[in-house]
Amino acid sequence: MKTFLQRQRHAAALALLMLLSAGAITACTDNGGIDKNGKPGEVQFVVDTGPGGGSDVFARQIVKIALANKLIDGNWPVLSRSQGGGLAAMSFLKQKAPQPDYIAAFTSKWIISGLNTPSAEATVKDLTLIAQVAVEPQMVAVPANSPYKTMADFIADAKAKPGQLVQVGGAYSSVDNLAALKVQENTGTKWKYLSFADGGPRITALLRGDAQMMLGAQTDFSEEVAAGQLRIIGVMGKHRAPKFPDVPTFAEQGISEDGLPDVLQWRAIAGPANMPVAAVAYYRDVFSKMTQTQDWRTYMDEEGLVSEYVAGPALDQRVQSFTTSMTPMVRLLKSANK
Amino acid sequence: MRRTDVAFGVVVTALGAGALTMALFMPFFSENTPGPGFFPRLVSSALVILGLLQIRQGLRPATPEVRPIAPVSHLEKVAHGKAAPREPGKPFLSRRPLTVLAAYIVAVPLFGVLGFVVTATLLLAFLLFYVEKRRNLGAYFGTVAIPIATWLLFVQLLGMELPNGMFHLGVLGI
Amino acid sequence: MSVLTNLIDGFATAMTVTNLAWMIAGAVLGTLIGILPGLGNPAATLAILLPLTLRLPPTTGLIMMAGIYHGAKFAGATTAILLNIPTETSSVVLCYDGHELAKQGRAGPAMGMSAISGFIASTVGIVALTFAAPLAAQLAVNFGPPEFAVLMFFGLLLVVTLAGKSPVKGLISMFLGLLVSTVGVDIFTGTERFTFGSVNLYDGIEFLILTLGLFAVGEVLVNLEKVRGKVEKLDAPKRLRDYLPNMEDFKQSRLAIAIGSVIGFFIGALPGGGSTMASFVSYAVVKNTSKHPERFGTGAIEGVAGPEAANNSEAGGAMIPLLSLGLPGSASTSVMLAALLLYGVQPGPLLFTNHPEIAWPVIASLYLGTIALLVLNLPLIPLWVQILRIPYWLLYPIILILAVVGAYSVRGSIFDVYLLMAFSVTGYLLRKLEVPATPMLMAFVLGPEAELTVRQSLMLSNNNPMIFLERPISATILITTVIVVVLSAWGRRRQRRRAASAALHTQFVATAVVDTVK
Repeated sequence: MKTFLQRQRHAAALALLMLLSAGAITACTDNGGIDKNGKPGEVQFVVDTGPGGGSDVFARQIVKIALANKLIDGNWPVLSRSQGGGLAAMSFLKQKAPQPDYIAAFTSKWIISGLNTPSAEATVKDLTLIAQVAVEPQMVAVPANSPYKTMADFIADAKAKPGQLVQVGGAYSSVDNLAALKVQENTGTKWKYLSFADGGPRITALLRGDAQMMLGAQTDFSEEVAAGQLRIIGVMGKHRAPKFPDVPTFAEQGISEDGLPDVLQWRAIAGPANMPVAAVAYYRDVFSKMTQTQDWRTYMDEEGLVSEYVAGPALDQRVQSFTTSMTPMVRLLKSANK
Repeated sequence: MRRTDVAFGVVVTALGAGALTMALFMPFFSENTPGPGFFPRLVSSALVILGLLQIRQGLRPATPEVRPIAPVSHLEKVAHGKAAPREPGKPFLSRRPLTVLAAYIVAVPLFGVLGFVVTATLLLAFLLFYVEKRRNLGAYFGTVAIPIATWLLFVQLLGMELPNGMFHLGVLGI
Repeated sequence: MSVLTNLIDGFATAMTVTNLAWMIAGAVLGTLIGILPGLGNPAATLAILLPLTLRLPPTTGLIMMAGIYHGAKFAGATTAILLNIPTETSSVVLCYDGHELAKQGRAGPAMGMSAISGFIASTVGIVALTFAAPLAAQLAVNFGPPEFAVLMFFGLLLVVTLAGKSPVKGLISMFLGLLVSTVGVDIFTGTERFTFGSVNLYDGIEFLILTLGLFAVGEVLVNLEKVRGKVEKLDAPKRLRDYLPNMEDFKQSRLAIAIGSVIGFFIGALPGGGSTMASFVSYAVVKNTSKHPERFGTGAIEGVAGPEAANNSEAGGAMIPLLSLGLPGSASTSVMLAALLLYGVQPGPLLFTNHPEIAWPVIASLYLGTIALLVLNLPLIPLWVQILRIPYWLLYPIILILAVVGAYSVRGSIFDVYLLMAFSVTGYLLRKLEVPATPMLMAFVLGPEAELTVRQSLMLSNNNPMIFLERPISATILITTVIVVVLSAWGRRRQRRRAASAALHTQFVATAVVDTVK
């Protein structure tokens, strides 16, 4: 026979349990699906880096800009799926198809990861390409005390010392190595590629003199250049970098970029396959408006990105041409490794 | 001779041999620097050698083992490096940890099917009622409250992800 | 002394009521969230709370982040000591001695010592930062692949000394750790190693999975063997004094704190260093320089003081590459840098010249954070220790559930939970076979760095191994390593001979006494 005290405790426990369950049930609802305006419910922004990484910061930035300019209603939390350099993010999106409330920030790295891993569960083909918002020009930096004044100097030196000079960078299969390999093939030179996992040791390798040059985005170097520790000697692509108008492009220096896609690195947004047309239109609307705000222009300026809004068939075509150019180069990678 | 030590040595040798075989497919030297196969080959060869050493040690009678590399704790000196006497009739792996482990492993695929909350509740129920044989209030309460509280904390409050089930009921991630 | 004046300005800014309030709030939040496995490492905790901190103005937000950082670190120490669950990589070492202390009923002193040694080390870190920054910055830039490689070699040697009773088993554990660390895609060549074609293994195995499986769940399984009811609730001490370290503890830990502070600062100053390495190396060095190394692993308070000191002075050291190069020294500093970016402040060498009003208060608050933790948490230690009074039959299922949550939350992958199972089985078996698990863990952390730096060095030198001796810093470290090894081997031989002769002597005396009596 239970005592009064025991019964009281039982009742209290039961009440607490019911409260918890009620709280749980009301607090959560599956907010997938879109309303009649095509606006998705709670949107989540998938990125392929951990917190503090490039894509993570980029996603947070554009959400911040969108919020500040009242283009979106609530915060879009950032979800990290960092394995495989995009592979995990792509297979995550594939699983979520055709829900419209997941988008991802993707770069050209995803295409290369897909090419590199034939057994990948999902590739860029399994995504809906929403829009590209910016292009990231790649440039070459050398230490301030380096004898190379232009990229052409470096190439000439590389011809004189085959297999001696060192380029520092990230993973072997990253876009800066692929581009460098193609340039080596085009100019008949050869140099070494030193891999570091983090950006910090790469810069110190340059400063120490262990490496002679590094190919990367403006953000990788801008502070060091401003402090006078590094110098930019060449820019890849058709246009000069806005922040370094005196630095000639590879083409202007007579270095062949044959076989390389026009745009090596971009920032774009994608979603799961078969996204409802209304949702895609909504996202495109948000992002195209965002690229016209002042906040965005300031951000582009700081990061050294070039704002370029591309969507629809033009974007598909760009991705396709990148894939086509990169496929033989990835094969070149694998053969260079034997 | 200690059977478990010998068995351990055999497993390590087999593991090392297997890893070595796979490592042989990786280029040892590529482009004049140690290639991807360099380190794995070294490590797996070391494992093979160590595994064989372990077998040899396990086969020896239970005398003090070879001189330790580092100074040994006072208690171990007193016991002369011998293993503590095993309780008679006690199996090497006892039932309770094995049962718990089995339940734990079985729960993993269920996470994807039933969702975190339901599976955790089932697991807790199994552990508390079957394994621990507790039937008091705390057990009942905990079985339901802990998974729900965990879910509320991690998913609702902190915005992280826990396994969702297949049914997409929208409630508690089931 | 511009660094000094700037630092003083920074302290002045940091010590406004608002800033202090937010810092304390951050410390509390950081501790609460840092307790949870999977979220415990400061980078993840910072990332979770980013939406909150970003709402504040830059200086206050970053000061709050400094508070969160320290809160998370302290929480890591707390769970390691109380529950043998390291929620972040740098607190793994604390499990070794800290949890032993907890089992002996001295959880309070262990936690107190960790907070206090952390405070002392932070002070050392700040002082060193003020006066040694230029020298350390120069050292940091000159620390290249060969230097790192030799340091890793030194670290791995130290790991071997932790083998204990059976060197073969210790070495097997270490090499198993090295083998597991090679799983994944090789960054140098893009080749897949031991991935069996699975994309989930592409980036290798996460450290947290290994720790949770080997330590947390493995320990649970071993404890379950004891007959029901016999697993004691860990002793909660009765008097308040017992909750804090006593004078004896401090005396023993003096050297350890000093060693830990210095090591932590220097390793923190290296871009690519990090608090994991700092705490590991500090533990190993403290153990090897101690007069009674065999006490480590059985509840030596220095085994808590040393690593925690390194952990905290590392934060000061990590400011050096930030100061001079604008480069983050560790994962958590890189989250802070990301926050700076989101504030619109460009981190870089010019950060301290362009935005001193942000940078210096942050450094000051990293120090104030330790004080805040000391003040907040020391009185709360008795409360934390009450966790140990939860009956084990309820505690261990909670640990199992939290382990799953932690494993899943790292990468959002159920595959990781399967890996957790595999490592739990491994951890249980290793314990039964009397194979130490710590060498495996430490080798897992040091291995990839060791391999990578050796390959980088050989690439730079065109396969000439003399590069390790040609460069002055790496040659110094190499020679020091050799000296330390020789000295300790000689010391051990002497100790053994002394012990043997003491035994003989006792026997001799005994026979002499017996003879005289006869």
